[in-house]
Amino acid sequence: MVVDRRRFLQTAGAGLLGASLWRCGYHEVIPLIDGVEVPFVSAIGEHYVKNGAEGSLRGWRMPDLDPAGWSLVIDGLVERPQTLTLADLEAEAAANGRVELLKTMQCVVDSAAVPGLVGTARWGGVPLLPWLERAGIDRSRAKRLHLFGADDFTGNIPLDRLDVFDGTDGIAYGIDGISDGMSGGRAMYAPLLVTHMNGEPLPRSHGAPVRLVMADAYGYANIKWLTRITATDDDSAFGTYQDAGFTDEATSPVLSKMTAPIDNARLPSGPMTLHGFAVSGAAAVEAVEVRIDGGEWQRARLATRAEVRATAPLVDEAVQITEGERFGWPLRGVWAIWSLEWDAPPGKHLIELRARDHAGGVQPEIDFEIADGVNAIAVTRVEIDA
Amino acid sequence: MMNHRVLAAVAATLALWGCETLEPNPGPQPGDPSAERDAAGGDIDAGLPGGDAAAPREDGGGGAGGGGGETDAGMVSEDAQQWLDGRLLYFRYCAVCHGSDGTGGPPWPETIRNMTDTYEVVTEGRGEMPGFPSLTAEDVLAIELFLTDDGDIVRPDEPDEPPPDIELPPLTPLEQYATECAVCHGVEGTGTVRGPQIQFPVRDYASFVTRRGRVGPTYPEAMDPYPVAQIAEAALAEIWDWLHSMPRPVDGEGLYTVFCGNCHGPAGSGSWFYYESIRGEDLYEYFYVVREGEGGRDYSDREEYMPAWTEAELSNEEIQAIWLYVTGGFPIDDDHDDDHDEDHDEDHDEDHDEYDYDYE
Repeated sequence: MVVDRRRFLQTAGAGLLGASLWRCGYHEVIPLIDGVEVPFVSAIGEHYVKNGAEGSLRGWRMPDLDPAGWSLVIDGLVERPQTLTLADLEAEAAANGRVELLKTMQCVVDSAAVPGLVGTARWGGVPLLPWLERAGIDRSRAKRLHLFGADDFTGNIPLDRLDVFDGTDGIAYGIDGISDGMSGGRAMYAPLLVTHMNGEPLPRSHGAPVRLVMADAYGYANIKWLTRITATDDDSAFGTYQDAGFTDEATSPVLSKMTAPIDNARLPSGPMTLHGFAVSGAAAVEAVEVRIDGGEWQRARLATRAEVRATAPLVDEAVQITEGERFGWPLRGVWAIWSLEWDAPPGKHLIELRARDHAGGVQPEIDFEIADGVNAIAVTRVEIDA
Repeated sequence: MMNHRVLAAVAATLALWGCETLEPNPGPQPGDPSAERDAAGGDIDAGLPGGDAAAPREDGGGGAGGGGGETDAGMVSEDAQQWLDGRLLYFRYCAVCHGSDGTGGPPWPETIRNMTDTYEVVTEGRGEMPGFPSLTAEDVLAIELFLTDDGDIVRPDEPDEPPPDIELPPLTPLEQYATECAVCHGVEGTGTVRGPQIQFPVRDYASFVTRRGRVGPTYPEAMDPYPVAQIAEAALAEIWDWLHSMPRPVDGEGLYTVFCGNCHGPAGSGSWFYYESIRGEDLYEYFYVVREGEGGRDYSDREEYMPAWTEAELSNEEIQAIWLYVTGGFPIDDDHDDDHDEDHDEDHDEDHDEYDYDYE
């Protein structure tokens, strides 16, 4: 019997949502390459929200900043401390263009076993670096920028990550010059002061009016409700989540998930499509493999750029898409959508999933190193009716 | 609260199997090859003894009885197996929030080592914690054993072999076609709403388009360029061979579609690539242009470039069938540009004798 694809997906999706309704309002995102339903870009209302300070700081309340009154102070080891307003950022965007960057935002406590703390959006903003140069940052003394959110969440950026990307993608794809984070005057992977999400003004729950976005890093490096950046010679691992034991650099290792069918699903037998995504902050995803009931690892199919563009028009303005020749496909720090056809026989089945990236990262069977999140392989158990 | 260095050290220590206790200790330092090996997750294919994912092994005990790590036959004892299963599950489902040893992590900074209602919490969730309903009572017992073990359980020695080299076979050219090309050009090159048919390609020209990509108003999406790093020359050649192995059309319409239609539009009426109709041309002109081509190898000039086909590639009979399909045997002069047409004829009149085919 052939499963009605749409009904199957809806059932799977409903189950997934039910399984992942965390009380503080997390949302599971279900990326499927199924016609127009593909949420390669998560709708704002479907993108996960988790606030790092929420669990750490008692009495935490989500900031509600007035855009007109918002300002960003740049101080510390600078010659000319700056106080930027939203109008300043808008003027910069009008003059030099707003940079639209695709990024899969992922919480460090997201894992193959924990649903929902991941989503992909098109983040729009202006590069941070020119503002630091206008402020006259003292590069001979400053080691890091300390970042402060209005909710008291903190983080940092080492100065050497401001304008240089490590070039892994460039090596993997044989592309010259990709390590130049500001090539052509545009930020590629350089930190962005983000004012827009999917083309709309940044919503309050995502850090309005301005948050930081770091292309390759876990959510905790992307400070929301950003209000102060202080250049300092303190070279320690400053930050709320760094203090909590997570890595200073916040780079996310390769991780894959299956989004349909979900764990514990019960489904009719016959042909079906396994769906999911894989993402790595370290490099582009190279491959996704699936193993069913301990058999051979099979290579899953990754959605092509053309396929994604055909179904997710929001991606078209993204810098990685408009400059596609330089970036290859899939994109570093952006999830790759995978699928695999499976003719499911009746019985109980164990489906394992692992991904690898172009930096040589492979999901381990078991991940003891939890400071950079848990990226062990995904395991899904399903029961197929006769 | 532990800082991340301590967590990492604990994790690395646990990874070394020889640990006698779950208490934090300095463990191997960064740079220690054994720690790096484990952090790299090399265990995938070799598999931990409990590596059968989330399913504790029913046969894991081997009847050796409790207490011992490995029996003489190399079997893992029941409780050691349960400990391994528990560790696997704990690190997969719990550790990122509850820390390496259950004493707490950032999202839940309190110990869970003395929990009493573990099964209910694990399967149903609590507070911000999601439930994991696929975990069985046996799974939860294994996790509890792992968390509460004080070192009494003798564990098997850690496998010593290096992680297996996991080499994926590269995609074959036809797999590359299926992955990169089929979404627009169809699984057999017959085209879709997103891209034209590409059967029986003119190889040099097709390679040129592949390498350069194509922007144009004909289809909703531009075609991305595919550099050699992505599709090697040899792979491209194999794809062209495969596209040439498709069933060859036998009538004029089918031949026109695969050899001419992409540029000359519906039934020769012109297209965005080449706007002039070819419905008014006589058969001599067809023979001449098909055999000689236009524009040399200037593939980028859509107005002037046209490939040439040898008789082995496109026979006289096939050209005639195409001509008959397009013109009905009676050329219709609906060209948009009469002047150009006349110039064209004058230019080539003297050449027509060498294409004196008998097409009646």
